[in-house]
Amino acid sequence: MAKKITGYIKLQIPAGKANPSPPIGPALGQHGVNIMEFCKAFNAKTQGDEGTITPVVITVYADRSFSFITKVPPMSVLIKKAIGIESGSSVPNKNKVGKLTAEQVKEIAVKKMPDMNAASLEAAMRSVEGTARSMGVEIVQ
Amino acid sequence: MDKTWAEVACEVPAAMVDLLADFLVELSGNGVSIDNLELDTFSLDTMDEAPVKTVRAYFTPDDELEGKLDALIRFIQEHAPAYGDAAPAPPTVTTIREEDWATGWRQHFAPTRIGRKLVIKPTWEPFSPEPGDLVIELDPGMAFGTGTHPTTRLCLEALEKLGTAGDVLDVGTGSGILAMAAVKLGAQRVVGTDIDPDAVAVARENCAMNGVTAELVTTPLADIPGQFAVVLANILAEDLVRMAADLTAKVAPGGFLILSGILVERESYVIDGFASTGLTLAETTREGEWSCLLYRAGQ
Repeated sequence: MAKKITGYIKLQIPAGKANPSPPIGPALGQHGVNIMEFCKAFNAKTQGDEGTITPVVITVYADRSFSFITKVPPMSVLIKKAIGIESGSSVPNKNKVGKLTAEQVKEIAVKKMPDMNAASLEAAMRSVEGTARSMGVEIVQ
Repeated sequence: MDKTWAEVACEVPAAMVDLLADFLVELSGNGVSIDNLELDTFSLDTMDEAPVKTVRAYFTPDDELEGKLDALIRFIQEHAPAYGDAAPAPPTVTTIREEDWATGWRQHFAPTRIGRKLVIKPTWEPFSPEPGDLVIELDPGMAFGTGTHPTTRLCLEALEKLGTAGDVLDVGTGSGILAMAAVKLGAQRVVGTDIDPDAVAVARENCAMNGVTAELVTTPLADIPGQFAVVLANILAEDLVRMAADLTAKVAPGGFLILSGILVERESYVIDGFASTGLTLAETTREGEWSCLLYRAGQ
């Protein structure tokens, strides 16, 4: 039987480290969801990838129960992870912070495809390259 | 506790959300909220993606906030035009109080009976116990363990079934609920440990409120002296396996080890992880997607 949906919450939070502080507390508290129960379940699902910023979509039902799905981390997070940098460039046109190979671009595009509206792998790869450039990351062939 | 946070909300084109979210995560050292909708529907399939989204980040309202806001405004003004927003709106700042959300969900937390005798009762709810009931008053505060979660319930049921005449060690005590239950069920000496000092502070308050005596410490498991008739660990599969040797070392001859916090799909992973400990798997109980394993040590 379908349950009535009363809330839809999208967060980006560190994997394995959910706690009742913002943004989780205020977002879930507003819907009367047991904050601790979510934290425990989220941490259980995302253990092993601690700290990686992970998008999570939470559906809240009329009886205050909830379900959630985690998604692939944002492209910028995957790029930073691939080349081992903490943050992108504040002046991406001038200061380059790293290099991404065509192979890495493809790997990230493949990983991210399920969450994207990209029509093809090529389109997804172009999107990865665009994000990389906006972060001051060069693409090398 | 009346902690406040500065909630900073930025309205940006949907395509810019990831870029901004990434910037805000770095700036705040914290996660962000992207959507938070009140709905009244049976299906999300028909929901349209809004062209403009509000990304919310949370900051400690200190001296550095102004500088961070300036950096945020510069970032939005620099990048928004590329996403078709030539004149982006400045972010709005709202002060929110922790108690507003920390206590708001409580109204949905009612007295719960677990096993035969245990009743978990929120401090703010009236309740008339029946003869023989063991009532635990619980204000879960900011630590895990409200008693209503299946992992806690499975542990409590296992504990009640065993009867706890000897000493009990609760590893990852959280709100202290399992330690308190062990005392109420008749354990002699109860030690609860947690790596989170906040959890231990909450657990101590809860014990005091229930008139229960338990030793609550942040001491690492390996450094806790003695062995126990029952060792409880309601944590997570990976942590349990990582701590397998230390947990096993704390179980007295003929004693029991209760492992909980295990997703059913991770059950075999934990069983494999404890295969070489010399303990015997005595019972497996499940509720929903959660599993609880009861091990026994040789004499």
